[in-house]
Amino acid sequence: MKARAKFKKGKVEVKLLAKHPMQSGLVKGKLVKKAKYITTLSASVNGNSVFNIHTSAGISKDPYFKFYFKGASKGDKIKLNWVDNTGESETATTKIK
Amino acid sequence: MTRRLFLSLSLALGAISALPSILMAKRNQNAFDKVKLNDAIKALYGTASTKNGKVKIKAPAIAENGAAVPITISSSAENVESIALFVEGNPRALIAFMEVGKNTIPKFSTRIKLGKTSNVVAVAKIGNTLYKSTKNVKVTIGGCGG
Repeated sequence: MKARAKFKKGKVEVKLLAKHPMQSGLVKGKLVKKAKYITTLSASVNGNSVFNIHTSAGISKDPYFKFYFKGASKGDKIKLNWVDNTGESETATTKIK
Repeated sequence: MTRRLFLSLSLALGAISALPSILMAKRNQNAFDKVKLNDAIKALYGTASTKNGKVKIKAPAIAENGAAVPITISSSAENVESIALFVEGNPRALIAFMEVGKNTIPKFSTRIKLGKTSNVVAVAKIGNTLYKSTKNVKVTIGGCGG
């Protein structure tokens, strides 16, 4: 997972790119292979949640997200995490620039 | 054991064993499993009655490749509790549900799959009211295989 966070005019902008197949397993509405997709993606600063999104396999492969939050400043660390439907997860940290 | 008793027992056991995973994930899987837009909105919010406006969708009018269509949804209203993104024509309507915390700004961008030309719908819960906007996106190559 790659992420970049920028502090601009009192708010933080985060751009994030995760590596994930985001496979629904559906072809013409039938389950033909195992589904594998990110179900929750979240971000926190100093233990406080700043972003939390639940997703389906309708998000494109290798998901990209851009989101915004307040209440943090330059130098703070953001902890990012995703979990998928098979229980796999990844955590990354990035510093706000 | 009668057949009826056996069936009701196995149903009850199934419900109990499914419970911990629901509590842990805090994810409304029921809403994500719904095929139709209005069913998904109802499963997510308890009602499907919405007003228009107060939530914005930025999406291309024509998407050449349905496998990755850039979408931004946002609301500039105060007290937004959550925003959700739906695609009416996809096999499952609900794409993403974002909880808006104290410091979260109700806006995000992502790339989504569009199986065919369809309405992209954003719903925001502001106070006790649901607001909805719709935008039609034409797709030349679908993106829902695999």
